[in-house]
Amino acid sequence: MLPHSEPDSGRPSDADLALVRGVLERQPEAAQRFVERVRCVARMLAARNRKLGSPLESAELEDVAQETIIALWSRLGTYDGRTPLEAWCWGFCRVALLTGIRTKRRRDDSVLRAGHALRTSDAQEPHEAVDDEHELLRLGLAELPRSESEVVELKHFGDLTFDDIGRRLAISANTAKTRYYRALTKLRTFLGRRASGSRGAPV
Amino acid sequence: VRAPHDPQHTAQLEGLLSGAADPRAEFARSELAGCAACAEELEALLDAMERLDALADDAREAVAAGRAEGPAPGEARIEEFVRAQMRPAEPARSGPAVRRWWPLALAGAAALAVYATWPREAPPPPDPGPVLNAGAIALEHPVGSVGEWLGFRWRAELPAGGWFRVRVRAQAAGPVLIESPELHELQWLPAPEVLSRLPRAIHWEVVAFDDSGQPSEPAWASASLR
Repeated sequence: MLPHSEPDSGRPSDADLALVRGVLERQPEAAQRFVERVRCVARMLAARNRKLGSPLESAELEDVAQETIIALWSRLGTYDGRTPLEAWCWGFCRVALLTGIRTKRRRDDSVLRAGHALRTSDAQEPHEAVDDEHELLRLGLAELPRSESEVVELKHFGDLTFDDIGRRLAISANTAKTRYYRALTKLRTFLGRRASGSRGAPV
Repeated sequence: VRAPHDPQHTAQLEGLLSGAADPRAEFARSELAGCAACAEELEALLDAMERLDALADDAREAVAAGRAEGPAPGEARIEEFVRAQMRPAEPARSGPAVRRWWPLALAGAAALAVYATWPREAPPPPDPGPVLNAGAIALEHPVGSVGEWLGFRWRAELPAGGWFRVRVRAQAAGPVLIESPELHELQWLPAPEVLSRLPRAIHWEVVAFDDSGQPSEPAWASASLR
């Protein structure tokens, strides 16, 4: 999600939802606008790939872009306008890029093994640790009731105040705060449980 | 000074986390400061908040790049994929019309069989080769049953300043599995590892684009591995 420019008005992503519905109804005028918007897929992939030290080459990035748009298209009917279209696309990009990088690394590793060379390390790449942590958070958010997760999303991803969130969701600011706190404690429990789970059972 | 945890602390903690500009400083000034359980809870909740902020920043950065960056690898493929999906569905190639005409087709086949076995001296006409659904593009390989996926070959007149694009699907209406870059020759030879990932049956098509990017009607063929 991006900061919302007009927090007090209707959802900024309503126009995106209308656009996606137009695409699903195969409205010709929606196609061009949609194409312009989903170009962001390739750009987000390229930018993140660069940030990660360019593990994928240009042709590989093209493949990942294609896989992303295929996955995204197959789920287009699930877009609900809660986030701007680009932010929704980013979720697909992130997964496809990680998969592409890991696949390439496995391929390179198997080539190394086939050449009887020693694999240098089984350790995670630094970006993978960050991505895993982000994935964990996403999982935690997905476990929350929608009434709570939407408050968290509007607060952190939308940069809204509790007053704005209350207006957006037609609830009082105090209710928004209570839902936020409840969500946060659940998230903290979820993260704690996962952290202790990853360390294994105590001996 | 240690203070025992009081259930009422929870409401105060909630107030701190949802209202204070600096929850740690507020906490230190509040009566909660002596409660070890609340101190631990505060740190855990602040940690969750910081992680959420980091996640949001990461998404913002990615989205900003998506809006600001220049052309990137794969944009053309994305555009073509979306346009292909938005194209009105082609009429079914084996629908009611085929069923309606099957007696005629059967009669034609019988006539052909008679013709083929009729004694004559003239040599049979030359094989025109497979020409499928195309005025200007004739797909040559792979068509029908083949031993392995080697690549794609066709015959056509390349429009001046134009190019070809090949798309391969598992089925006619299915998603594109692989797609060629802009081609200026009459074949496309993807890497063997790409070909090895293709299913045993494919539907492939070739589209010619003129110099303005206007696509021709696609020529298509089905092929499968023996």
